[in-house]
Amino acid sequence: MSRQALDRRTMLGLSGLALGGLALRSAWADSAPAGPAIVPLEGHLPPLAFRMEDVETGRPVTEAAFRGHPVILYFGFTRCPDTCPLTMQNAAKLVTLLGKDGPDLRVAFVTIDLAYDTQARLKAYVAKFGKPPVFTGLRGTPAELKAAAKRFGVYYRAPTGPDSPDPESAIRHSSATYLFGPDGRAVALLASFPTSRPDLPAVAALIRKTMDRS
Amino acid sequence: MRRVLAALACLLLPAAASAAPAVTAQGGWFRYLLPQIPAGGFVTLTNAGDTAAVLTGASSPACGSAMLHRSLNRSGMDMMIDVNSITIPAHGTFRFAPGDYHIMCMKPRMTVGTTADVTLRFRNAPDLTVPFTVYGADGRPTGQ
Repeated sequence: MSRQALDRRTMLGLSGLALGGLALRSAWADSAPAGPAIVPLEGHLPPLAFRMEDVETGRPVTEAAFRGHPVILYFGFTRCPDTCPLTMQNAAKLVTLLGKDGPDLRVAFVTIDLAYDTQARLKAYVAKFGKPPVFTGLRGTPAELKAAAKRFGVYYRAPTGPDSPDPESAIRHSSATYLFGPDGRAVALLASFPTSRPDLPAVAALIRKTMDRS
Repeated sequence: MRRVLAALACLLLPAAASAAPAVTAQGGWFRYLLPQIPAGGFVTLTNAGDTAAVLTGASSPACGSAMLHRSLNRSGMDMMIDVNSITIPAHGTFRFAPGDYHIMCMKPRMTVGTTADVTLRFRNAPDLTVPFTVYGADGRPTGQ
């Protein structure tokens, strides 16, 4: 490490301490997505299975509709102003990056906010990022959502009605974004996908691999 | 090392610093989706003054109400927290960015391709009104 770099670090540390740890906290935030971008999941998560309403058609849909396609499954909500649209934007970029393979991908956005995300609202939201059948909004009954969340180890809490004050900050959900292969088997947790550093080329390469294998 | 000492002196003697915070804003933008869905606002703040600036709030006629928020991920759980204040260090910058700190615009009334004014309130500096460029679902093009 050069003297200059050392000095810079020293200053960063000192000013961080003096300013209530702000600089240090920022440094921590930068390193937050640390760890592997892609975590292999085969054998650790059950295959894709669910029953919910496809908000595009208003009709029930199951995993059978996605058979033969690699699937990205994400649980979020439309009132989420930051990470959910960031994740969906990453998905849209991924489809572009996949080129001719892009239309084969299925991106399923499952809402955890049943009070606010009506069929019409979720449909309009998903359409902002991409067209069906590549982009699908899924809305379950409370029981269907609970079953899917349990199957895939997703935690969610949306203790809100439309009248709750600042309900958005009370809503929490697992950021887990899963990749399933065309055969429905769980392939990977895309750990960096819901972040500003999604490593899309690595995700695209993995998707192509699952397509070759099927 | 002299720079370290100088920085220390500034930090340890804030009362002696003469100049007030001098905050400017760069690259403000919104990701706007639908009127019923909060928009996320992002901006970089630079403080050229000798005193740390403390941002305590934001407002915009295009937002209904606006709040300082931060997205956090704890053990795989995405959540959002209210932020009471944000300190922009003397001669430092603070960056609102997707997946991190953002201005939550509760009831957006804006049009993609235009700008919306956001007024930033500071504890120890004058209000700063900044035009935010309105982008859609794709967000701000990379490289800007």
